[in-house]
Amino acid sequence: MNLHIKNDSGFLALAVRMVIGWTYFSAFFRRTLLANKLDPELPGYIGEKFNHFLPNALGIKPIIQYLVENPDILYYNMVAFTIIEGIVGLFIIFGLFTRLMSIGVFGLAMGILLGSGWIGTTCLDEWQIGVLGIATGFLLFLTGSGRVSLDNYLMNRNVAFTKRNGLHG
Amino acid sequence: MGSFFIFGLTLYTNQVFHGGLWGTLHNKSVKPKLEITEGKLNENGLSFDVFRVEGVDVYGAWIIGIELKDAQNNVVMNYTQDQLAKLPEHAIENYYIAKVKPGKHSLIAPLGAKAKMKFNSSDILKLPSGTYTLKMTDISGASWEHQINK
Repeated sequence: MNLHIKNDSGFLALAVRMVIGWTYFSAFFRRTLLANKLDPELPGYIGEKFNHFLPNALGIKPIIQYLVENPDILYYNMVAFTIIEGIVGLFIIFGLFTRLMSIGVFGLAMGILLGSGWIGTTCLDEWQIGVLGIATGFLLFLTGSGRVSLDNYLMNRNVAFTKRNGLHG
Repeated sequence: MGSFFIFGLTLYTNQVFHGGLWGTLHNKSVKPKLEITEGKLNENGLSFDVFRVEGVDVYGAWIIGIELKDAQNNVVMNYTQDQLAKLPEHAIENYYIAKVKPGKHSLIAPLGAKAKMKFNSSDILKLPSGTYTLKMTDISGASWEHQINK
């Protein structure tokens, strides 16, 4: 791309892309590699954290209640969420399928917001991260990833799938 | 368009979750709160549902007293801190993943946990008909009451 740097909106959003990517990827990283938070038998199981959201969640209470009443389904959902967070985070950092992944950023942030937006002891912690994640996902959907990204690299290499119509860019 | 929608969502959730626009500000992560429902006193003894709905997500609540009083304010049942710490498993029936359970020094009710509590000592079974008040006390001093008829 021979775009002037000031017109490369995706590149200008690089800091946001890398930081939001890490906030998501790090969730996967710490739950699986740094500590085992996916084991229902251990204290610190994220299913229990998910249970904390229940009393004052907005609009998604029935879903949370159903999951915390059915530990098996909850477990699969927690594993799936964690893996999705890991993939979305990693791909956003590297700028791969940026626009598709930005929808993931938006969706996961919406889940955080509606579930735990009411939780936060010092600041309005979860509400802040939720609304910022939503705004960020939307921003990245519009900007795409710009010059420093795998999307850009692949397009310059004329890799076959980049020539078809799709969400990436 | 999208930006305004997101800003709207931000203001809306700020108001719903914390009262950030008008009215009284509220933060439901500061003090514990229990909801007591489904109180029953019958031939099977005393049972009720307790649901921890507010407070810090990673800590407490520490329940140091469960007390039942009759209409004349006489205490007819009293579980102290130490008794609650040794409460047998069959007295607590948890609904969810986060569980109400006896801790080292008190009964612990984690945020989002909901349980049916059952007490059926002979004293409780012998109680005459009437109106009773159940009271649960947190170590902070906060307490919650619920009326039960027999």
